[in-house]
Amino acid sequence: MLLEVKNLHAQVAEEDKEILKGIDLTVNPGEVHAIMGPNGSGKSTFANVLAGREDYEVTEGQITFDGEDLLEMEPEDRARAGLFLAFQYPVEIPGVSNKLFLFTAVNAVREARGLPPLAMDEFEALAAEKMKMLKMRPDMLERSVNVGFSGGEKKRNDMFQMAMLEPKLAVMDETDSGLDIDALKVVADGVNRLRDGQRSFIVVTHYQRLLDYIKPDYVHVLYNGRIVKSGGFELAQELEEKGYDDIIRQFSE
Amino acid sequence: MAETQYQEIDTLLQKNSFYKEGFYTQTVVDKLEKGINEDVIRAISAKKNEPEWMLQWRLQAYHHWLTMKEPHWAKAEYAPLDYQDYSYYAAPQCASCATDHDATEDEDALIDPEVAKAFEALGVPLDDDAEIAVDAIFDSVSIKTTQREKLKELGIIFCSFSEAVQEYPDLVRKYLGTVVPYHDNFFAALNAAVASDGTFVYVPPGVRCPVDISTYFRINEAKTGQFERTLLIADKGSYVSYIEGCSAPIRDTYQLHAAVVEVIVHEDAEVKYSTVQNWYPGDEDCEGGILNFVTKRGLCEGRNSKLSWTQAETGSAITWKYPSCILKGDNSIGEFYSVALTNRRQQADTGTKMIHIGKNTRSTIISKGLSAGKSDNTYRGLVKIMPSAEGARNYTQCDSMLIGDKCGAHTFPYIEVENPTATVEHEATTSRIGEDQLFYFKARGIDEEDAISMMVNGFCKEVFKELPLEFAQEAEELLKISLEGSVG
Amino acid sequence: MTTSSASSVNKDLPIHRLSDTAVERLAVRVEALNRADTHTARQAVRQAAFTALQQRGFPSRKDEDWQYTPLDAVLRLQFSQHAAKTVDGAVLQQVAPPFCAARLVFIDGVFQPQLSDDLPAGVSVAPIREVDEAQLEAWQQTVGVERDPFDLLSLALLDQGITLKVDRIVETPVVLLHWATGADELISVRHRVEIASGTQLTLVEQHESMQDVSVLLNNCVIEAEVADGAHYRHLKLQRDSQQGFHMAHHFVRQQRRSDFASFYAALGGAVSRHFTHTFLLGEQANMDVNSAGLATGEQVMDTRTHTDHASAHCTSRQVHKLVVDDSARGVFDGMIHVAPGAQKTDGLMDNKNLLLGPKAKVDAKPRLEIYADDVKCSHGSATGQLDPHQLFYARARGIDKDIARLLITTAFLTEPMEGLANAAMRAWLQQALTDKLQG
Repeated sequence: MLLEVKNLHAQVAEEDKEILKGIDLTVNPGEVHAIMGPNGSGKSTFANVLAGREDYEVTEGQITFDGEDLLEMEPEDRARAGLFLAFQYPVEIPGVSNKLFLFTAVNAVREARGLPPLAMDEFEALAAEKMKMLKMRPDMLERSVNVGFSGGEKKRNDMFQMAMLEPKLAVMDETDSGLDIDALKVVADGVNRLRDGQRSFIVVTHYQRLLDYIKPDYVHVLYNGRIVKSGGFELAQELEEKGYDDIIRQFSE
Repeated sequence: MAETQYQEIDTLLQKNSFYKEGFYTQTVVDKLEKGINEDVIRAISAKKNEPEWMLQWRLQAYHHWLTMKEPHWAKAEYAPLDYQDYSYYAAPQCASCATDHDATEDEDALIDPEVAKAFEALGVPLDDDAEIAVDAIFDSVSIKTTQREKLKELGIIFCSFSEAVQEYPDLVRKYLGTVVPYHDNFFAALNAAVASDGTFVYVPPGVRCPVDISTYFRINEAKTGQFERTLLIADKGSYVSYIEGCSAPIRDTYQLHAAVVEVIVHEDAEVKYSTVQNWYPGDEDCEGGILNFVTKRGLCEGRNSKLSWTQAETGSAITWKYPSCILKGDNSIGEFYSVALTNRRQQADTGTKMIHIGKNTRSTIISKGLSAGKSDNTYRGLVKIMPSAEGARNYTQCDSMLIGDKCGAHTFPYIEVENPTATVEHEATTSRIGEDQLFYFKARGIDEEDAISMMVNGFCKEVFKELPLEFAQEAEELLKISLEGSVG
Repeated sequence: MTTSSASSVNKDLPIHRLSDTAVERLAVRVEALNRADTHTARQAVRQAAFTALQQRGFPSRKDEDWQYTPLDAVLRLQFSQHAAKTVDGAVLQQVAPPFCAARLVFIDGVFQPQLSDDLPAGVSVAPIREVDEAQLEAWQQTVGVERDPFDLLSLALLDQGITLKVDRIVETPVVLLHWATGADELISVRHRVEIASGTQLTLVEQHESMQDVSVLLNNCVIEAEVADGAHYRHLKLQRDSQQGFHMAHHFVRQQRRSDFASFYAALGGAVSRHFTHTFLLGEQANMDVNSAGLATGEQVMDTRTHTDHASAHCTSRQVHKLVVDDSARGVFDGMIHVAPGAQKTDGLMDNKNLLLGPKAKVDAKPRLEIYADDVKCSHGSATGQLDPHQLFYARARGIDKDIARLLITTAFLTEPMEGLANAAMRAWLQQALTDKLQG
């Protein structure tokens, strides 16, 4: 098993409001899990807690990732161990070029995996190959990280980073309902290209339409900080037809 | 804009010497001889029948004032003030009898009918059923305070400052001078020495004041200084919205207005303080206008307290005014929303000070300056983050608009950050009403006056929305009148 | 104008806030200069400036322009002179910029022809002492108590420095290396740069000091005249000793359609102050003045500008950044002044400060003073911390926390130099900044 989440409770740091109220989830290598749920159910919090964002505080529970205690790890160590978060809103970093940013990241990850660092020309060759695969314009490497990128370009850039860092588990935080169809396709395409039977995915989304392109193995419904229902892809289709009303009625406190 | 258009502006400006509040009220006046000395101060205190501690406080302030030098800002130009050429006390006779006796219910009978007429002409409601409670101040005394009984039932004290000294001496002594000490600055010291009247408001714990409370200041007599003192206390968890308005007759010599306002906001309380200032600006050259040198300061004493200053400044020859917030309580909030319009040779130097002391204190400053004619309009503000103000935040936006090429618009912010966890943002812009914009309006059938009025209101929108509704309308009207004919 | 000899310097008039010994030593210096140089106009300038300085005194924090610049330590200086130290040319080579340039070397303010490179064609150099009568007259007319005290000090000690004239487009940058050995506690240099109509110069102003240099005041004034259509590019690397005091003025007078671009990298000095005063005198002149400062320890770093839009249709652009660590203090003060009639002025001034240290402080005073209506002017000032979202984003990609900080801070500091200099110059300045960041 790659990821095991047991009874995970979390709240916003320094606030007394619990958002995650006991999540259990197991992900094996090669599996694609979708986490769905109405707005405010805690989906995005879950994704960010996995990546180690300090805005959230874990108050109870354990997460084991690839045999290690994930909650003890710094965000950069989680990334090096093979956990990748695709951001809902990729961050702009003015003045830092994509090339320098990713070159630093790739070699930090390689070092943690016991691989020799890439020389700049090797890195450039690898980047060119991945960019071609993702149909990216080569000049994107020279630009500042996400600065002046369109929504679709930012997503594409995140997928590019994922391709470069070759994670074991990618967590896609795609709760944003405002994502246009092109951006959705970028994400779906990125996931599908990197699906190799070993790499696992957790796709967090509000709508089923992203899942139409990705076809997850498992679908979980998160409501009020708990996974209240799990099933196969048919569960996503059911939710698309009926909406979340039934779930809300059944599980509201 | 073309040269010829500016000539038109000038012509129009000259025609526009219209100040509708500029009338004078004939009344029998009890007025002290011109001049300031210890005897004058004792006389003022005696007329108000003040207790000894109040007299001592005045004298202390006076002696300190004698040691101070009159401040001068580089930008303001005016002939030196002769403090011996002012009268420091003037009261319509009838009304003065009213304050000499204890306040009575049949106060109305004692109001000089001429004074009552004046307030009626100014549109200030002196009846007890109006939407708003009013303290009407005529020269040095409070004429009437409406709705006080209604408010008293809620425990809210709303009366003239003089009455408060008589009836609530403990409260006055507890708070007077705690936010603006008598030695704070030259004009604050002068004010403490010769304080005429003003308003006293106390809102008890947990009470939301159901009506807006207001004071209307009227300077009537010539060569009279007005030195009102306002003290407003919002106790724990209370709320009050307070409004002040002001005007004066047309005079040919400068008149001095040096008020002090102190506001104390306790835990979880909120005070909204709104001012529409329309003091007489003087003639074409601003001769004879009001010199408005005011110290306004609030202390957000308790946790989660909030003080919001909103001002629309259109009058006075010279204005120096920096309504400030001392954000002492953790999570306390200070706000300053200002529209200042200067025309002719008016000079306004106004802004705020936000002193962040408590943790997570927040402040917002929105200042809109409009300069027309040959005027100078300056924003001067201080944002200070003390070392203790962990996580403090400030956002400041100062916009200036120039109407004509003979005026000046200036922005002088001071930002001092002594805590590295603070976030302070300041932005300032300058713009004008462009010919192309005016043309666009005209091309859609809108005449120039309306176009300018619309654009000016758009420019000031963020501030006007903070004013109580009826005052927002008044402010918009005032802007329109003050700007009339300022663009050709 | 007086024809009096050196002996008329009045030593008894104390300079406010300076110690008696320091005043005495200053007076002796002025006197010695006037004895050695019998040119009456120059004597008169020195003397008038010294008298004005005595009358004006050194400022305290009560002075509006000095409220954020503590001078106490500067005023404790004794202005002693010690035995001269020899400087090895190899040491100077270590601080040479990694691009092709002609370098002029000044040791403790004194020009060293034997250590300097040949000048590129189109550039001529003469000692500032030989400045023409008209300029002396102009100085003489304008010395007064309203002038900045350190500028007055520079005129009172008028002696070292050069006049650099450019009469054609010069591609090779000219480097002015100022090297302090600590032998003199008061270094005063005044340069004039005259760029003729339609020509171009890149000037690199570099301040360095020996490792073990003791406390000293480096007072440097540059006056630049940029004629019609001329281009003046100025880069400054200030790496004075951490115990030293760096006081600098850069006066730039721009004529029609001229261009002036400047970048200042502030690294050294216990107290440093760099003041760029630009006069946009001719129409359609452009100014682009930027800076980046990194203050650590107890440093006080003061960057200030005064932009006089005296003519219509001029553009000014400014970005000033400060990173303040430890217990240091950063100061930014900028004024955009638009004169009556300077219509179509386009002025933009941006200041951003990053607070890293637990006791880091920042004071900012961005100002606008505007007397013309058809103008577009704005300023902004923002002070805050490293963006936690940026940090997390970098860490979520496996980048070490400290490296992420360094990356983002470096990017913050180097942004103002984008599009300013060529790549080699940018790399050089960036390296200097990162060297200190990694400190």
